[in-house]
Amino acid sequence: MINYKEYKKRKKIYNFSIIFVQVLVLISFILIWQLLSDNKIINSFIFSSPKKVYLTIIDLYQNEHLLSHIWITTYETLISFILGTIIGIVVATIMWMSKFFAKVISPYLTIINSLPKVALGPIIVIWFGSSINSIVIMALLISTIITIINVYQAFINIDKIKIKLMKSLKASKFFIYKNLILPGSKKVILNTLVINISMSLIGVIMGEFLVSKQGIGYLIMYGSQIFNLNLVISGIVILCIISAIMYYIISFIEKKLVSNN
Amino acid sequence: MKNILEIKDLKKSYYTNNGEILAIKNFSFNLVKGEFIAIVGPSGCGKSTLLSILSEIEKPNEGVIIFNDNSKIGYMLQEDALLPWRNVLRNCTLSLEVNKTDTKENIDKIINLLTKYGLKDFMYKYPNELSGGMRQRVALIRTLATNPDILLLDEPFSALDYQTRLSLSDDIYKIIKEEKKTVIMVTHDLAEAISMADKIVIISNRPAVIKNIIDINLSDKSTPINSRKCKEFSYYYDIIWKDIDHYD
Repeated sequence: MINYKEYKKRKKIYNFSIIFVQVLVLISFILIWQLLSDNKIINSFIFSSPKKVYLTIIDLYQNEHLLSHIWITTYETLISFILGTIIGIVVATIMWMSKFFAKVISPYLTIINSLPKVALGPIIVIWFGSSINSIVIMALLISTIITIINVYQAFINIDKIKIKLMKSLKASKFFIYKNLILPGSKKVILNTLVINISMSLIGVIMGEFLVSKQGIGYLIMYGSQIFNLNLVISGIVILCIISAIMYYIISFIEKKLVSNN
Repeated sequence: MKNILEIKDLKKSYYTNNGEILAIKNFSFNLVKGEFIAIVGPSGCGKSTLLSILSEIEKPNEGVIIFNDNSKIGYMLQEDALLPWRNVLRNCTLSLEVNKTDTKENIDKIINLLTKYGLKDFMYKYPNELSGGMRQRVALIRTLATNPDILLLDEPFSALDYQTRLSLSDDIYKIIKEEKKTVIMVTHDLAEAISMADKIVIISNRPAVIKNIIDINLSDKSTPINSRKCKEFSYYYDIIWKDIDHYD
């Protein structure tokens, strides 16, 4: 038999041990990586080492405007995220309003969705120039389609009996949209936002690979071209941190909005 | 007595890839003000279609429906269909919002109804905090919000357990009688129909045609539960049972 106090205590220990092991895994990974390269078991020119990554990041910060690269990537991701979400919801709304439009557009959505977007990269750069435009377009291609599909699914999965209720009250299509479809899809829309932020970041990095002017994607691409693997791995590490921060911010906002029913 | 609703030669069919499905044909019927009518028949026979036509969700292929004295329809669905993100009061004011008649006066009327029928303390609660019977009462009050003359009830108790079903039919019956509404109730539960209705319309398997209309004269009609105790109850049950189409 355990009482409530005991239960709370065990739960606390359990949660703490999860975090402890998570941190342990990270630290051992870094230590082993460093040891292997110090003892020349792996070639630190190709595999770099934690120390070199650290020094590269410091150097980038002091001499190569690291913060402005981070800012550019974040900025492009946010623009794509906001535009992708708005366009996605608007298109899904039009599809819901007109079944005919939805049927016409649906095979095109399926094809574009299954197409590896990176294949469109060269065309996008030629059409939209080697600028932020191409990067945002690339990110939109990746995030918008999935938003449209998810949000539209949520719209048409609204309880049929509630639609019937609205019809029996002789509600207009707009009234139904505003008072039933939209609030009824809130959860799915918020979930889509969390997916969308990751999708946008993927698209932005792909775009930066192609355009190669600035941003974290550019640093990684540039590093690989001059065979500076320290730069490549530093770029990836920074990217991990950016994506984690963005994910947690959006999840936090999502949780706030969901509980705020 | 005055007819509040007249239905003449109604016909409704659905078109599918496999052809035409005739749901209702030759359906003529008059409804007298203040009456409680129950429509019974085998499941899938087009009972709900009839209610959808009367509430103008669907259009008939042929026939006329005349509403005398500008009478209005209120449709109570099989499920409560309460919106989970709105509290009880805001669920009830939904129909007012549709017509943009959500004035303070009309909202006060709804608050009065909620108070009168024991939902005052739940006015600002959300549907998931309510029991099945309460939710169905809220759904009825939402239907009453626009002050309809004729209520359409589509199997209003079917989603509930037996206990709740019996006590709720008493509650709903009381509300309907107090508010002096004319009612068409669709059900497949014969006992429920006999215990509540003044008149039972028996319809056939699809396509729905009227097979028989039976007046119910019970010695005690004060509440549905009392009605069930009447001696004549089983007599009516027998004759209606014989009239209904049964599957083998």
